[in-house]
Amino acid sequence: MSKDKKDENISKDKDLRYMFLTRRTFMIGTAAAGSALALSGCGENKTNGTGTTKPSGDPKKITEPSYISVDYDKCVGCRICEVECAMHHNNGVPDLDKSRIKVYKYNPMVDIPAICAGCNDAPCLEACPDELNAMKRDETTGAILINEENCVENCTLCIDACKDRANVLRRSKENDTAVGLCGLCDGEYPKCVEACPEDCLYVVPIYLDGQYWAAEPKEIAKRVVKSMYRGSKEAEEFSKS
Amino acid sequence: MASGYFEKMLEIDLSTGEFNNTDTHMQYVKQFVGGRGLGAKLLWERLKDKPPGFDALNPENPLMFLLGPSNGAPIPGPSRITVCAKSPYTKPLNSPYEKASTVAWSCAGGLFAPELKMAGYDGVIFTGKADKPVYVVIDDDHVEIKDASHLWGKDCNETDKILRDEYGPEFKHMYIGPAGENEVLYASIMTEVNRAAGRSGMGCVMGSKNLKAVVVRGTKVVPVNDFTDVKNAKDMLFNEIKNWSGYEQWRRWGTAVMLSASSERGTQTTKNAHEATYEYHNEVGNVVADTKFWTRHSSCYLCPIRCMKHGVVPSGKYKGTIAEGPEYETGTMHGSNCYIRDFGGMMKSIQTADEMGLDSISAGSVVGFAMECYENGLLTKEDLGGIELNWGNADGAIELQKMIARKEGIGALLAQGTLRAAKEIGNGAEEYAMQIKGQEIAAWGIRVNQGFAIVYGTSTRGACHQVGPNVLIQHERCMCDILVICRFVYYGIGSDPLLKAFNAITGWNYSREEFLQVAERTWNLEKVFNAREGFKREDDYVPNRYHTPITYGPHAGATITPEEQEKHLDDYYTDRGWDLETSYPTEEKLRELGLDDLIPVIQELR
Repeated sequence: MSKDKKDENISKDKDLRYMFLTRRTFMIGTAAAGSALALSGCGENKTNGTGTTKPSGDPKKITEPSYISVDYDKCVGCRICEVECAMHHNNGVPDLDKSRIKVYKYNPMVDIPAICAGCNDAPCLEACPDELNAMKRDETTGAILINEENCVENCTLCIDACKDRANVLRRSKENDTAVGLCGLCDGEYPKCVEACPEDCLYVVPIYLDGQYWAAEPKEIAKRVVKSMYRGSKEAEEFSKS
Repeated sequence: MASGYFEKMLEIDLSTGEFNNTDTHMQYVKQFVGGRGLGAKLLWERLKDKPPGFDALNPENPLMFLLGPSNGAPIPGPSRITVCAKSPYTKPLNSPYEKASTVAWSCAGGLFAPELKMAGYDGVIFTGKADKPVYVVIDDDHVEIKDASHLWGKDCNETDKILRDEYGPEFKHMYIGPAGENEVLYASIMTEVNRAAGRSGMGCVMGSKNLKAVVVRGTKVVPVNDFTDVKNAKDMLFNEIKNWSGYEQWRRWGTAVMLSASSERGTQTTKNAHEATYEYHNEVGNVVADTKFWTRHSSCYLCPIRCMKHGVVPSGKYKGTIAEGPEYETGTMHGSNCYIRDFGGMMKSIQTADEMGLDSISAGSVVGFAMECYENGLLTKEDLGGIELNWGNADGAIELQKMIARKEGIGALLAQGTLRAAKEIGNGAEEYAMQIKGQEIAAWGIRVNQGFAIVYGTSTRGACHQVGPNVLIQHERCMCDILVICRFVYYGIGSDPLLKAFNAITGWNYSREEFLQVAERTWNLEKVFNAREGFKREDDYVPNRYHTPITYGPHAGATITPEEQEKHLDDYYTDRGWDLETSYPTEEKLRELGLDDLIPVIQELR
């Protein structure tokens, strides 16, 4: 796993390029990474034209550092991923408070799924006190995992650290510990990706060169609105807000 | 706790600012389940001791946001909410009561309903009237009535933006636009800018209470009988929907797919229902929308059909307008019905209705009515504040809707809808009013598909295209409004899978008969409510215009004769077990449905 430090000199504007992947950069990204998993995950098995989303063949395992990439142009905001995630991680109970993917709607209307992107610099992991041993990065999948037993109530260090990133970390209403980090379904084919009827979620190898990290959902929304509603003054105003 | 219910309804008295939780609805849920059914029962219980003709704009008219057992469950399409009250809009032909009107139920999709359910409520009931504009914030158990002066006067899009900025994306909202604030009789309640509880004037009732918006966040889990059963039902339902033959078509086009198809079939309301085929349908239809306008699909909660389309007008005078649609109803009422050929203008007209908070169907019909009045000299340019409202004048349609929403100039007259406006205009304008029981007819023609004479005629909330052409379909669709689930899910998979999901959620194990009887009970109760107000068989007829043949298109010459109309109604009342002469439910029917308490009401009417 690469441990490159984030280049401090990268301008704010340049950062934004990596905040989310456009269709084009997604294709370039996957091709460059040359990952069989990502390509087979989105290309052959997921779409067969009839809208079925079950992957066929052997269950896929995530075998290298990855994250779930979103094609924002395609998301329709149905929140099926959110409910599937909540049910999978909560014994079939659709407690959306426990969901690790959240779909947010913005006006002009776009829907932005917010999910942990496994930032290379992982400010949440940095913020979590070492002695707690409540957070670690999975060596295989690259996902950052919370050890619920070690996580302490009312501590918001990791949550605050994620505020200007994906912003999905939050305090659970049940016991005030941190919830919301995507663990990539422990390396199994992620439930949200499998369930998405729009094929807008993909498992993609992560850039651990320090150039990619998560963006705030609203910042993503601004970009998506701008390209979605081209020529609209209203969209222009939103993207500049 | 009962499965599928929180056994808790929030009741807010806006006059005093007090609120409390009640569980009185729980005694009715086995009989009426939720949504429209529970709405009819609760409305009846609250108004039965008041004299008939109770004014719908009286603060005591309860405005009820009602949910069903399916909301918040992980099955497809549990995204709807039914808003119920006594309608301010409908009106019988002859009644001793000046303010007589029907029941009102109006459904909207989006994300609001599951959020409200997850906040721990089976519904919210607003009574009274705030002394100044307010909005209500419901954050799980925490309820707050707040000053809405910064929202009042704002259109739906602005209101949505402000609330989103203030509360963030986790909160969901329903609100009224200027039309509701000014008590336009066919004002809608909107959510997510373009989704509407549009019909039967619920926005008007909300405005009359000085209630601008409801904002909600919910983080609870809806209790169900058995989560494993519900998960199995979920898998089964999603699977069935994906195997539905119409699945890909509805996903790609939404209801817009019907625009051209309906025109070619002679069922598209055109030129204020003079015709039923629009010769320019290709200029404003779904293909143009797809190639030039749509940029994305949008879905309600847990719906893989995602029929809603957003887009941005690419050229012309209204370049840059973000709008939603055209859907079949909006694209017809604002397109062919007004003879509009400019696609961008039509989209701006649809968007104006949404932003003003007008019922898009009634608004399109009112504009068509005004255009016909103008063309025939019943309304002049001066009457219309300088607008030359010829057929197809999209700019005029847009301006007129703004005037209606603000009740400026001629808008004050047209804000009452076609029935009341026609009476004031006189000179035969009554013949131009395409309405039944005071509510405007929607976008499906009647002459080629005569089933719509029953759909529009017998609907309990005034002309409505959704209720179904025969008793069985009426009951199945009514169950959608009761559960409260989207009709498109039912169109795709029928009512049996919904029954399985309902039983998995509630654990009640209703048979198909018991299930559909809930709908029949609801229909009969609504019918008795309306009968008490003075509605009878004469109120179930289609306007005279439908007795003159259409002159254009593949079905030129098609019409519905008065005799055919009589026969359809006779057949329908017979199937319902209703009296042919009065259309009232018979005593046997009411007894069979366990509605014995309504028998004296009917006896008194005879």
